Amino acid sequence: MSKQINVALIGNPNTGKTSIFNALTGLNQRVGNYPGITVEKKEGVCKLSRGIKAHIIDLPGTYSLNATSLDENIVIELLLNKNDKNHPDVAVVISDVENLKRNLLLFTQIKDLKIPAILVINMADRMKRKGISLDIELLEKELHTKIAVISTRKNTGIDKLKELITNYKELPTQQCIDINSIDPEYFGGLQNAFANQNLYKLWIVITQDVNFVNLDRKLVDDTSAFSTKSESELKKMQHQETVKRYQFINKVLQNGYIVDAASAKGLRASFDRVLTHKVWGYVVFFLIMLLIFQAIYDWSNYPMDFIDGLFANFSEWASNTLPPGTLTDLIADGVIPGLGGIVIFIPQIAFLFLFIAILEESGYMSRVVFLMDKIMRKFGLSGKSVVPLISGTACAIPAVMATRNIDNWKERLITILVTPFVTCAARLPVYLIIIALVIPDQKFLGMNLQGLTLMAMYILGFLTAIFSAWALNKVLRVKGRSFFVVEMPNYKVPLLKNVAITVLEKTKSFVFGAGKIILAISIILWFLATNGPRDTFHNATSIVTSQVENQNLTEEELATQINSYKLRNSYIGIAGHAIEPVITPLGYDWKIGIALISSFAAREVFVGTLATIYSVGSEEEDTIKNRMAQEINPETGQPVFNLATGISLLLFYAFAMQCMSTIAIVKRETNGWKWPMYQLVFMTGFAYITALIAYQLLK
Amino acid sequence: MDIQTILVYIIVLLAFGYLVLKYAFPKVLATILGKKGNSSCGGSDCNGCH
Repeated sequence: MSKQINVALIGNPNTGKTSIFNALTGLNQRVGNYPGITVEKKEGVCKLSRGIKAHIIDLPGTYSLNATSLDENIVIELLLNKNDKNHPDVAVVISDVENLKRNLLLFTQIKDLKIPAILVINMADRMKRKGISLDIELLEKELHTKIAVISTRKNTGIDKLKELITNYKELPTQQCIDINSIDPEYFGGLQNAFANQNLYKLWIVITQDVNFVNLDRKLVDDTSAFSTKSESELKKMQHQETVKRYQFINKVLQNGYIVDAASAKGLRASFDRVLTHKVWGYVVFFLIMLLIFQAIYDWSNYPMDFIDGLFANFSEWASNTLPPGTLTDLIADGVIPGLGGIVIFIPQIAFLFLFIAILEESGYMSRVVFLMDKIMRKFGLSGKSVVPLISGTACAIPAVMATRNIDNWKERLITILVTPFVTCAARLPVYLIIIALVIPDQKFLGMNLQGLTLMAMYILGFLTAIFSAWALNKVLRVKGRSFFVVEMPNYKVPLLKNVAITVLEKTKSFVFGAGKIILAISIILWFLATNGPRDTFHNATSIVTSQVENQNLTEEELATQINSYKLRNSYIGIAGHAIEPVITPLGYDWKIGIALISSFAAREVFVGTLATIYSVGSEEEDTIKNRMAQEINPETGQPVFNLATGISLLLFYAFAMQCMSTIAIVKRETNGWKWPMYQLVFMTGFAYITALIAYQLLK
Repeated sequence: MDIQTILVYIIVLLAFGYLVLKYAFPKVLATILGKKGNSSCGGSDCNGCH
């Protein structure tokens, strides 16, 4: 019978925890969030020998068990609470070979909780280059543990780690330091009061605000069996504990960890000098962004056209092969074009996430955060706003939730209010299709003009966010500032497996998350476009036939006229025409108006909506791009998607608050409807005005 | 009314119901779909997929 054990991966940030997690679990992993907070939760399963399965949980990076953030608190809660279903049978503490001394602080604390712990010394491939040599036998003896020396890059040491996890019961549970020695009188009293509890666990409970079910802090404070200490005395004792731990670590490493400085080679400082430079840092960042957006257009054209054609053929096949009837029409004209409207963007989304994953894996993203922090400060935002704003490029929802780490309420509010301006992944499909339609596929200064336009849209979103923050800062008058500390990890060549898993996960989330909404909306839109309330809809064939009696139309032309007449008199056509007076000044027809309204559910619904509406109104199956390009304004005889309309649409989508989920999350985070409503009115009003000006100037 | 039309009405109702539940009653939708906890778009354990 197979047995399952819980394994917690714990370690300082940037020690390669995720690489080890990926190496252990492969694709058997699930990403979610811890309930109530926005800290990412990664779980996976690893098959070990003797039929044992390990349930691996990748805990947030933490420097010690002295929690100062939500992330760190999660680690402590899990380690202390034996009733938690994820409480580890064994803790795998990941350390980075170059920062072993600092990483061992956490290890010694976990050891002192008497949780079986394995020490992983990661990034072993860097040892030679850095002149590091380890005496593993000595380290194992002194630290009372088993050690796995791993290089995920060279794929070495993982089997050893699996073997150690399998045999976790053989791990020694001796403690590293005796906490009692810090203040024998105090700890003696504490132990007497709670004779059955681990003394170090009691100490952690006293010094942290943790949700420890068997023994809460109040109970400890109220106990008169030992003398309690003031907060400052407790802090002093914590410092003494840290000093004691480092004394222990220094002694252990004295003989077990040797660094030969003469043979060490390091390029990090030289790289940092350029990449975080006050001028060159931004130049390099700009060039990297330029390269990314050029590549997104140049590389993804072929797969995009292939997918577009595939869906058009699939739609035609469904129409010709399935038995004629309404269900077949729904599939051929509603479901398939609607889904095509999202699947077509898989190549671009995958490329975007590929580049982001490479930047993160290489260690460059931390330098970007550092550079952005400098800019933010000038506009009244502080460092802690950087992470939400940068993560807003993926999606505004987790970004708004990430603002919980900002202590100052006004600063947090400003960040919440401006984050939806940052270009999220949902805007990308809208930008891509409109840019492809209205911006010529030409070179400008040797660069693709379409790629440059896409980059300009990202810059526009970011600049609007920071200028809005500056304006709000003047209105709300933020006084105190929160501080932000970011660790600069070493530069690394990105690990292919990690990059591949990230791209796969993110693309899957994007397609399946938005896909369900798009499918549902496409079905409803198709229904509303193929049914109508009045006689004009039901008698469309006879009305149109009598109208065009004198014209010599072919059968195909007549069918197109009938379809167009029916669409105009369908439920959706009536609704679209009702809003036309509001959107005509922006250069949009009623069909675009319907797409604008439906994309309030999620921006990426825009393309699927147009694909469905155009599909219902046309006799022939065609690609989404061709359909949009061929759409003609009956009044002007010009293409609907021309430069003026296109720029107007781009600006509308750049600024409008078109995401119901973001409104919902802002309501929750600000505890009321006041701020999301301000945000909705301001952003949509601003979007309308800029789109109006752009169209009127360019038309 | 033929079988295809009946099926279309059912599908349209399901699609409409899905959107109403997703945006107005996300917790009910999570329960119906058998998701653990209160997973929903923009909910506590949202992972930002939409």
